[in-house]
Amino acid sequence: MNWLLKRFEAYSGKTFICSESDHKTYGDLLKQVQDYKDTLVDHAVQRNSVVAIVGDYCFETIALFFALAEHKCIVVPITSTADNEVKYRLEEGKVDHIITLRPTEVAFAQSSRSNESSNNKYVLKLTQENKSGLILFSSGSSGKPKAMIHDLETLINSFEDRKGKNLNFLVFLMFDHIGGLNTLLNSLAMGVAITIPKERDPEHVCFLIEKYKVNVLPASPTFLNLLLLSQAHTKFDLSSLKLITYGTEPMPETVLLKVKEALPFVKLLQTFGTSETGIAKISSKSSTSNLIRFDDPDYEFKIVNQELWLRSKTQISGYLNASNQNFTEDGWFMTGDIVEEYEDGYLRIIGRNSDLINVGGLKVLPSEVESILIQIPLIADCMVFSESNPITGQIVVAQIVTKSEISSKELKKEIHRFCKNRLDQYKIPAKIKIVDEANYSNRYKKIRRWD
Amino acid sequence: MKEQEIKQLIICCINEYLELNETKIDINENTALIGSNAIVNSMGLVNIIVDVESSLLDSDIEISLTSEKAMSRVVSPFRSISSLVNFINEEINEESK
Repeated sequence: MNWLLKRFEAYSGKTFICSESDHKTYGDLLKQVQDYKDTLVDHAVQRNSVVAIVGDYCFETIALFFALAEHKCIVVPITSTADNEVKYRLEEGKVDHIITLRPTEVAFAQSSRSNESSNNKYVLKLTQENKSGLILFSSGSSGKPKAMIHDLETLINSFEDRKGKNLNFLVFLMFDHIGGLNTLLNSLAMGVAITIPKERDPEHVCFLIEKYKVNVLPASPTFLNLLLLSQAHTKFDLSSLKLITYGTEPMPETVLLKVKEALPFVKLLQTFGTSETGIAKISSKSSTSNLIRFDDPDYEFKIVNQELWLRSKTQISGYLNASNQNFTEDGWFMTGDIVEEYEDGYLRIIGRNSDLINVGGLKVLPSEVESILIQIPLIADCMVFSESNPITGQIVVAQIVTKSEISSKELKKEIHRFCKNRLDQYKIPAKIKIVDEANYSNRYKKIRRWD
Repeated sequence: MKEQEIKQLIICCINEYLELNETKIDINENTALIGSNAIVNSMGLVNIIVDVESSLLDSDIEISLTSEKAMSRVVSPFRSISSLVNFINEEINEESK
């Protein structure tokens, strides 16, 4: 990753971070990385040890990330603030040192298991090759979060071909998320300014876009829908925005069209990746299409029983705390994403295998139902998932946010009337629950269950 | 809730469902919801059950019509409208005991 530090030097006069409290240049970043490298030695952090950074994006955590990479450590970024979540990640990652961010300084601590070095085969392999590593955790929506180990050097080097740009990126996805790291590495390789939001709600994000003249906003479909509902885009001047990228979950075409209508001057591009493989270079067919095509020489893909399988240069070596059952022997990762194939190599991501609803043996994709429901004028937002039922095994249920008051009985009638000629009978929600807001995670991704 | 009211509530739910699906069938207390003479398919049954349950809930009566008890009866509550009335009535009486 020598090339990256050289770029920091070349970009040294350019703005790196702008925020209300901070203005730093790439020169400041380079200096901080060098200083932290000394600090690591002072704190007896051994090369090849596993080191957690507890905190979200800021100047210090980003500098530390690269100092640790330079020091050939295995970095574990942790953004959780709940004690038990942090503890789980420290244990499963078999962390040697913990660096916690305090305002404007960092605190070092040895983990309780610091004398017993990790004997995991993937960690040992990185040690033998004298390479830095990265441990990310899956979201754990289907069981306990899985710890996966990346070769950080290969991941960083995959950004070497990026050309310098004068832009401002808002870092929306988080520090411990492959999409968030992708934005960061992309930004740094291009020497662009980054804006870090304190909060990730639509109002604050729009405020930052206006204030710092942000050009690129990476976001999730759930966030973009909330943005439209809140009308935050009408309260701020977003004319600096050139590009919105969206990913992490399927994008309903109706939401995409509404975003384009609200922000006609913005180009909309989909991103696609998994924590296991990294983020692939893809292209969207157009700003108003959710069809994508892989354009990445480092990626191979194939479709097996409608499921997308990927094989990439940047994929993980394996899991620390789970079997590699999602990988075939010859290295294909079974993504769990269900896709449809179109002409000219275009694909549409339509949902997750694990979200499929089985109604009497017939498969229903929540996103398909949601994309119809969202067209009903009185529905502001919706989320579809399954409930077990002794007659059909599972039934389709929908949580609905309405624009005006209506009884759930009347709403169900309205939904059935609207869906009758648009969806097969078994796909039409049998149960409706009106809620104040749809259930989404702090990462602005839908959580498909009753709470 | 009286037997007659329960019956009315069920018939109302069924009629509304049939109307939505543009089916016109005269129903009475012998109308079957399952079996070879059933007026609806399994999706229809599932929907009617959910609707009856939520209508009962509107009257503060919380009953599961797909409980183990309902599903394991020798004579299914869904055999006819009158058997469904009987089942709901029994459940209400049980609750109030």
